[in-house]
Amino acid sequence: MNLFNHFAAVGFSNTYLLAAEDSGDAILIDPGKMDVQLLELIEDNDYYIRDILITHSHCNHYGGIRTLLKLYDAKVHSAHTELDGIPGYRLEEGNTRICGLEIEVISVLGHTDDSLVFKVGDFYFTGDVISAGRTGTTPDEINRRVLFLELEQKIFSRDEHGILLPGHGPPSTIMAEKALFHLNEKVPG
Amino acid sequence: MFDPELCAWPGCSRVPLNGERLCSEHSHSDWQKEIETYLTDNDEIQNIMGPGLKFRGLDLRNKHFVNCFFHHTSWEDCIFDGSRFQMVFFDDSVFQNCRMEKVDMINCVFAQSLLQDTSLRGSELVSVNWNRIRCQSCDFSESDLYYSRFIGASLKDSNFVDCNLKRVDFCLSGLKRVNMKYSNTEEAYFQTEKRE
Repeated sequence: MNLFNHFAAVGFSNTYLLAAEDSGDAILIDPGKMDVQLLELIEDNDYYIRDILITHSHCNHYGGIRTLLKLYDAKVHSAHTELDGIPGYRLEEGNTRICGLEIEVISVLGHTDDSLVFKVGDFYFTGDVISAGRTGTTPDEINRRVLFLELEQKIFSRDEHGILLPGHGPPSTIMAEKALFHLNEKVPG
Repeated sequence: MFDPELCAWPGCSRVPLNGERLCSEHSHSDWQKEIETYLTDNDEIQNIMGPGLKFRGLDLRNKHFVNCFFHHTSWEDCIFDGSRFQMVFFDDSVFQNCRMEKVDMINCVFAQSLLQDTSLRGSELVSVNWNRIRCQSCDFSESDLYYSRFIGASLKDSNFVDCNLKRVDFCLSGLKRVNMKYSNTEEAYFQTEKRE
């Protein structure tokens, strides 16, 4: 698998481009902003975007799809059949195959009620549910407890060498996040 | 791209060496020497896995590291000046008396590592995960640490003079004799607070 990271200064968000080995077709995860640098990343590496995966319906994670769909004939996958008026494909929890890659879709509630984590190999594209040293913001204390429980059961129970690639901030590992999580139940936001 | 499956040795939870089925402890091949030679002989270092290895006295100036996995490694008296790092994992590692001056680093991970007598002076250290590092007598001065995180870190006798600390997160960290003179500390986070 080939993996590239794009950091958009607007929204401070990460977009990930991934493709199967020897494939010219690629997936974009959370294109919150379409900018020249992201276009160069795609084109300079000779990729065509076939699929767009959205971790959750916050606009800083999908804001770039309208522009992308003018350039590429891509399918949009999220927890919904429609996103901001754009028809898409609804993802259910479990395993699926997209653009030649085996992807496990993991629903992690708490930050939003539609948050998905995408596991590809040992990489977890976590959106906003967890980033380095921080858990996602939650609307209230009940959802905060829900998020913690979901993270414990669905992410921290996995192999500790799993690599977390969040929607914001630097990457991390499950091992590092578990240690911090239990230090102080993480810093919110 | 690296794919950190576990060591094939029964019961071992370490990550195997590059291209191997076994980790550094259980592998009987001379991976230490091979990886060292590869690192010193090549300027473009991509998709290398060297978890658990111990390096000493390497000259790794002006290298370009991309997508490498050096989890639980040890680096002593190594020089990385002028090197570039993109998505390189040095988590749970030890850096002693190393020099990483004028390096360009983005989206790297040093979480849970020990850094001692190490200089990163004059570097671009953007969006780097330093969470829970133990850092003693280190110099980050004149560096751009934009959007990096030091959550739960222990920083002692270290310098962050004239640094860009915009959106740098020091929440839950212990700072003792840390000099942040001329740095924009007002744009860093030191309290536990909610943010977007």
